[in-house]
Amino acid sequence: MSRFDSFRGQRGRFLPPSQKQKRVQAELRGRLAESLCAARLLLTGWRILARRLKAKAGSGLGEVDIVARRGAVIAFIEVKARLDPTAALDAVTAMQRARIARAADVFIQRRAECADCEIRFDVMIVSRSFLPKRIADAWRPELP
Amino acid sequence: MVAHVNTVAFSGIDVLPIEVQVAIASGLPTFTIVGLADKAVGESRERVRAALNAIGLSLPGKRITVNLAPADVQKEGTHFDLPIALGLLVAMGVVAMDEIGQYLTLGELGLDGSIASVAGVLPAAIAANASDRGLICPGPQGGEAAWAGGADVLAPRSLLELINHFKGAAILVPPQPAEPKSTSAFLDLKDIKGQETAKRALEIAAAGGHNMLMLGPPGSGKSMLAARLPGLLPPLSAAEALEVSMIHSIAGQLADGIVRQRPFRDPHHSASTPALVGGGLRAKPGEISLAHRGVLFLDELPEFSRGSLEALRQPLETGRVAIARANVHVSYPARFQLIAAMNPCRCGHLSDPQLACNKAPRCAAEYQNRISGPLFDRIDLHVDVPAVDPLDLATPSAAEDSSVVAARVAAARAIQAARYAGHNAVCNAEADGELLEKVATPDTEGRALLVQAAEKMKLSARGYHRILRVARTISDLENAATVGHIHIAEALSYRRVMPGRTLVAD
Repeated sequence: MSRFDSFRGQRGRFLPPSQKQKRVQAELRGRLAESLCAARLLLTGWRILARRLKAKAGSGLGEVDIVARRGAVIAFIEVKARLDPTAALDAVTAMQRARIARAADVFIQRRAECADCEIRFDVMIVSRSFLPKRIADAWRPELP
Repeated sequence: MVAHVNTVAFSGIDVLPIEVQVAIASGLPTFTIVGLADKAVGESRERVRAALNAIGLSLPGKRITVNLAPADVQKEGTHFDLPIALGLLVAMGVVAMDEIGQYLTLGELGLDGSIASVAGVLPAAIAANASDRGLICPGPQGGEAAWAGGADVLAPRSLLELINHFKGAAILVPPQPAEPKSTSAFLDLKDIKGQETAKRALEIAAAGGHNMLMLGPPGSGKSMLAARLPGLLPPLSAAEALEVSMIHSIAGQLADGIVRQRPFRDPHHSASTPALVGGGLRAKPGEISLAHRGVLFLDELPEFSRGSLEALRQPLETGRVAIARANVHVSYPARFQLIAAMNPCRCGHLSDPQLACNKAPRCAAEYQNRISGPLFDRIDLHVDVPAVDPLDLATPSAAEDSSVVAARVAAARAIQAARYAGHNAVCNAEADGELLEKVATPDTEGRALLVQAAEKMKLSARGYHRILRVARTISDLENAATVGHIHIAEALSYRRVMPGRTLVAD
C-alpha cells in the first residue's frame, strides 16, 4: 500500500501489480492537477477554504476537490486532468455530481459565514495547455 | 425577500386569481416550482432559465422556490412562464416590486426571451379590469386585451422590452383594440335556384333563432342553404361579441382581437362527444360552446354517433353545458342554433320511385330512427328540400339576394329585442314559460287550430310551445301584433312528418 491510497485507491487493492501501478500514477497525476488548479485560483484572487474535502452526509459520503471563495461566491470545484477538454466535462458523472452536492451541503451548513453566499459548482480542466481552464457554473444540483 | 406577482388560472371561462411567490434563500442552487403545477408549468423552469440567460442574466446560485398560491388549485398551461420570470426579476432586484404589484401577468416565454401568445387573455383582461389592475400580456395579443377596456395594458414582445419599460428606458405603447382583419364576404342566397320553401324556412330560422332540419335527396342544396345562413343573421351585439370572444379565447382560437361575426361551426360527422360538447383533459369548450350565439351546422345528421347527438339534448334546452370530469367541473354557455341536414334514407331518393332502392320506404324509417324522438322534438323547423327541377336550374335566377332577406330578419330581430328588453331572452327561440305565454298568445281562431292540431298530431308539451315560438317569429316577420291562425298554420306545416305518413294522419 502506498501512501497515496485513499478511499478511491482501495478499489485497486486486489489488482495485479501492473494495473496497480497505473492507478497510483493516475492518482499522482490527479493530485498534481489539483495543486496546479489551486495555485491558479490563488493567483486569480480566490481563497482556498478546503482541499480534498470529505464529508459524511446523511445519504452517503460527500467529496469535493477544492472549495474556494472570492467575495460572496463560494465555488465547489472538481478538477479533471484530461487531454481532451470535452471528455473532461463528460467525466463529471451524475454520481460524482451528487457526491459533490452532498459535500457542499454539509460544508455550507457547518460554516456560518457561508449563509449569505452564492453557491456555484465549477469544473477545472487541466489538459496540455499551459493554464488550467475553469468552467464556471458548470452544473447545478438536481433535486432529490 | 419574497416577490409577489399576480396571475390567473382558468376554470371554464371563470378566472381564479393566482399569486406567484418567488423566494431566494441561501442554500444549494436549486430551482423548484411548487403549488400543484402540471407538466407544462414544471417545464417553465427551463424556459425561464433560458430566457433570463438570453437577456444576460443568470439565476443566482441560491435556493429558488416558486410557489403558486393558492396551492390546492390545479395549475395548467404555459401562461405562468412570464409571472415566474417577473417574480425572479423582482427577487433578484432587477425590477421594483411596487411596479409589478399593480399588474396581472400572463404569457409564455421562448428560449430567446420572446413572449409568445397564450389562451385566455381576454378573460384575464376582464378580471384585471374588475380588480382595478393593469395587465401584462403577450405582444401579439395586446389588441385582444385592449377590448376589455382597461386603461393600463402592457403588451411587450420580449422580456427585455418589459424590463426596459419598468426601468423607464423605452416606454411601451398601450395597444389599441384590434378589429378583425378579414370580414369575409358571405355567400349569397341568390346563388340557390328554386327551393323557395327552404329559403322561407331559413329566413324564419334566422329571424327567431330556431333550430332547423333539412331533409332531402343528395345534391338538392341543403349544405348550400346552411352555408348562407350566417349572411342572414344580424351581427353580434357588443355584449354578445364579448361573450363569444371569451369562449374562443379560452379555447385558444381567438385570432384577431374579437369575434364580430356570428360563429358558424360545421364539425364533420366523425366528431366525438367531447369534441362536440366539450371535455378532454382540460375540459375545453366543444363545438357547441364555440357556436354560442351562432350556428352549429351538422351535415349528414344520422351519420353522427348516437351518443354525441343525444348529448346535444340538454344544451339545446338550457343553453349551457356542464362538463364534469374527475378533477374538473366547468360550465360553458352553449346557446347555439342547430341547423342539420340529412338524406331521407340511405340511398337518398325516397321521394323519387324511379331512383329509390327497393327497400323504400322501410329503409327510410330505419335511417331516420337513428335520430331519437326527443332530438327531433327539439327541432322547430323540419323542411323538405326536394331535388331541383332542371328547368329552374336552366333559367336565370330571379331570386332575392341575401341583403334583402337579411334586412327583413334584422327588422324582426329588432321587434324581438324591444319585446324582450329586461327579460332573460334575446329572440323568440329563447322565450320560455310565462314569458312565452304572455308574448305569443294566439287569437281565438289560432288557438282553436292549435288545440285541434296538438290533439291530432299528438304534440308534446314542448312541441306545443315550439309551435308557438315559430308562429311568433312568423308574425314578427310580417310585423303583426298578434299571432293569428295563419301564422299557427304555417308553423304547424314545419312539424316533422314521419316517413310514409301524411301530416295529419287520420
